[in-house]
Amino acid sequence: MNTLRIGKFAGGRVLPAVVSGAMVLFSLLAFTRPALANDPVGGQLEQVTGATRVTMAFDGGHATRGLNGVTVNLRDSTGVALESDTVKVTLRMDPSANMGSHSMLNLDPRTVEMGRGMARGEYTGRVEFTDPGMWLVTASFDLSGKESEVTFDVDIAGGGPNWLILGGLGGAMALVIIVAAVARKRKSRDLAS
Amino acid sequence: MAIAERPVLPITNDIPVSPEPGHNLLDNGIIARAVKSRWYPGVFRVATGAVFALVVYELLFGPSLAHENFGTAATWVLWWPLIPVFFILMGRFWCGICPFGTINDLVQKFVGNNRPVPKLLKTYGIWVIDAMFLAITWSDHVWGIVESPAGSGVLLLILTTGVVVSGALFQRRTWCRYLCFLGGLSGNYSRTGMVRLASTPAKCSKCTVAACYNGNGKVEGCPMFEFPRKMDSMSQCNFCGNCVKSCPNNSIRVTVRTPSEELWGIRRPKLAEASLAVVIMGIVFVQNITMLDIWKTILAWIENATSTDNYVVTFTITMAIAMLIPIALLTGSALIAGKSNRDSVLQNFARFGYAIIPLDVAAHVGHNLFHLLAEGKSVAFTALELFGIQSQGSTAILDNPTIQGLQFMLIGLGLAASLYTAYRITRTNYGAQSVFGTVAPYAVLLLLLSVANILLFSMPMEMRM
Repeated sequence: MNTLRIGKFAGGRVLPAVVSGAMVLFSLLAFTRPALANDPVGGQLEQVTGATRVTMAFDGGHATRGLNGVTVNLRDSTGVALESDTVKVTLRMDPSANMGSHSMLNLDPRTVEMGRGMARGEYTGRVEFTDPGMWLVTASFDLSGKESEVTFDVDIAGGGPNWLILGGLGGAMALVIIVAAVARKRKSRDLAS
Repeated sequence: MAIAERPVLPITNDIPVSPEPGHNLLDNGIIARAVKSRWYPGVFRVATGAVFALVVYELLFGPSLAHENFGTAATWVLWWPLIPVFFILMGRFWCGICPFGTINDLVQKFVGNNRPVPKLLKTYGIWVIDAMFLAITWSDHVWGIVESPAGSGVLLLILTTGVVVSGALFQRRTWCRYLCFLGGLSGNYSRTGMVRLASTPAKCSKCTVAACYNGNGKVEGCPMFEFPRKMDSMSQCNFCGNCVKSCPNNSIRVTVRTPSEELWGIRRPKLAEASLAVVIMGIVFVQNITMLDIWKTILAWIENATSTDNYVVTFTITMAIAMLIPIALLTGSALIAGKSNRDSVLQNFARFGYAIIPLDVAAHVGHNLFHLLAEGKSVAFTALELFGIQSQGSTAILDNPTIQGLQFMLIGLGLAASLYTAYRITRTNYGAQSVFGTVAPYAVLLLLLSVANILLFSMPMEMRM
C-alpha cells in the first residue's frame, strides 16, 4: 500500500517517527487533562431547605461505583443537631444527564432507609451506585411532622478503564502478531529451501 | 509488497461493461496528479489514523461521562452521522482511508501470511457482516455502548483485534470486503453514490497484464479483490487509486453519475444485500423509537404482553419485530408484484429490496442529522476540554424546527429516488409491460415507510450527549 511506500521512501524512518510522535501526544494529553471534578468540596455535600441544613458524606470522601457507606446529618441554622423519625435516601440516575442512552437499564429509583448514627442528628446506611454517570440522591426526612427532602447531584466516575479487558484484547493482538510472524518466517524458510 | 497469489485467468475479450458516459475526472491534470501521487491516499490515512488513536485514547482513558468525552462526540455525533453522506458523495472513499484498513495493511506488511480468502467467507461473508451489524446495534441498546465512552472504546478495540487477525492471516483487505460490520451498509449505500470508477473497454481488450488486479511490482493490485475491467458496481471500490497508478494503458475513468443510478440496472441481485437494505429500515425505526417519549409506553406494553421486565428480552423482541415488519411488507409487495411480472417472490424480493436503499440512506441521514445539528457543537466543546478550556452553552448548530424541516426534505428526496429506482428496475427486468402492476405494490410500501419515518421525525428526540 502507498502508506507503507512512504515509510520505505523515507528510509524506513517514518513509521518509528509516527509511533514516537503518538507516544508524545498521549503523554501531553495525560498532563494537560484537567482534573475531573467528581468530588464535592471537602468530601461533603450540603444543602439547605427552610431552616434545616442537610449534609451528605460518603465513606472515603467521595462516592464511587458500587456499594458506598453514606452519612446524612441534619442540623438547624445554628448548627444544633436535629432528629428525624425516619431518614431515607433515594437514588436514581439523572435522565437528563444521561440522555441519548439507548439502554433503559438502571433508571428505576432505589430507596434505602438510614439507621441512626453515633452522634445526634446523624444517620448512616449503605447505597449502591450501579453505573457511572450522574445520579440524583434524595435525602428525605420528617421533622416535627413535616416531611422534607433535598436532592444532591452525585457524579460517579467510571473508575478507570477495565484493565482486564484491555489487557486481554492487547494480549490477543500481540499473540496473533507473534504467531503470524513465526508462521511467515517458517514459510519463507521452507520456500527458500 | 507483492501479493503472493495467482494472476487473474483468463483475460478474455468479452466486454461486459459499456463505455462510461460523462466527463472523466482524471482528464483534469490536477486530479490525475493527485490520485497518482505517492502521497495519495496515504496522507489521508495518516490523518484518520492519528484521529482514531486519539479517539480510542479518550474513550478508554478520558471522562466517563459521554457528554464530556471527545471520543464519544467525535465518533457518534460527528463521524457516524457524516458517514452515509460520505457514501453518497464519494462512494466507499471512507473505506479507503479508514484506520482499520491502515492497521490491516500495516499488520499485513510486517507479519501477513496472505492466505486466500476461505470459500466459506466468500459465500457467507455478507451474512456475517449483516449479523455483526445487527449484533452491534443490539448491544448498543442493551449495554448502552454509545453513551458509554469505555463501552465504545472496547468495541473499537474488539474490532481492531478482528482487523489484526484478518491482516495477519489473509490477503488484501479481507476484513473490509468480507468481515467489517460497516461493509454491508457501505456497500449498499455506495450504490447510491455520485462517483463511479470504471475501465475503458477498448483499452482493456488489448491488455495482457491486468495490473489493476495483480499489481505491477511497484503498486499493489486492487485491495478489495475487484477487477475494474469487469466491475459493474461501486459497492466495493474504495478509491484507493491503485488501479489508476498501476494501469499501463491509462484505462481507468472516474466519472460523476446520478445518485442511485447504479441501482436501476442491478443485474445480479443478491438476497443478502436486499435483506440488509430492508433490515436497515427496521433498525432506523428502532433507533428513532427508542429516543422518543413514546418508547416508555411501548416498552410498558411489551412488558405486559411478555410478563417480563427484563430489558434484554423486551428490547430483543422489539428489535426483531421492527426488522420483521419491513421484511414482511416487502414480501407482501413481492407477492403482489409477482402476479403481474410473473417472477418468483424471492426474485422480486431480491430485486426490489435494492429500491429501498435510497430511502434507507435518507432515513439514516435524517435520524443522524438530528444528532449532528442539535449536538454538533459538543465536538468542539469536548475538543477544547482536552486543553482545559471549559465551554458552556447550547450544543445545537441549528434549531429543532429547521432540523425537522431538513429531515422531512430528506425523506421526500429518498422517497422520490426509491420510487424512481423501483420504476427503473421494473423497466430493466420486465420491459414496458406490467409496469403499473409491478411498481404499484412497491410504491405503496415505500410510501408507508416514508410516512412512518415522517411521523417519527415529528416527535421530539432525545440527544446522545
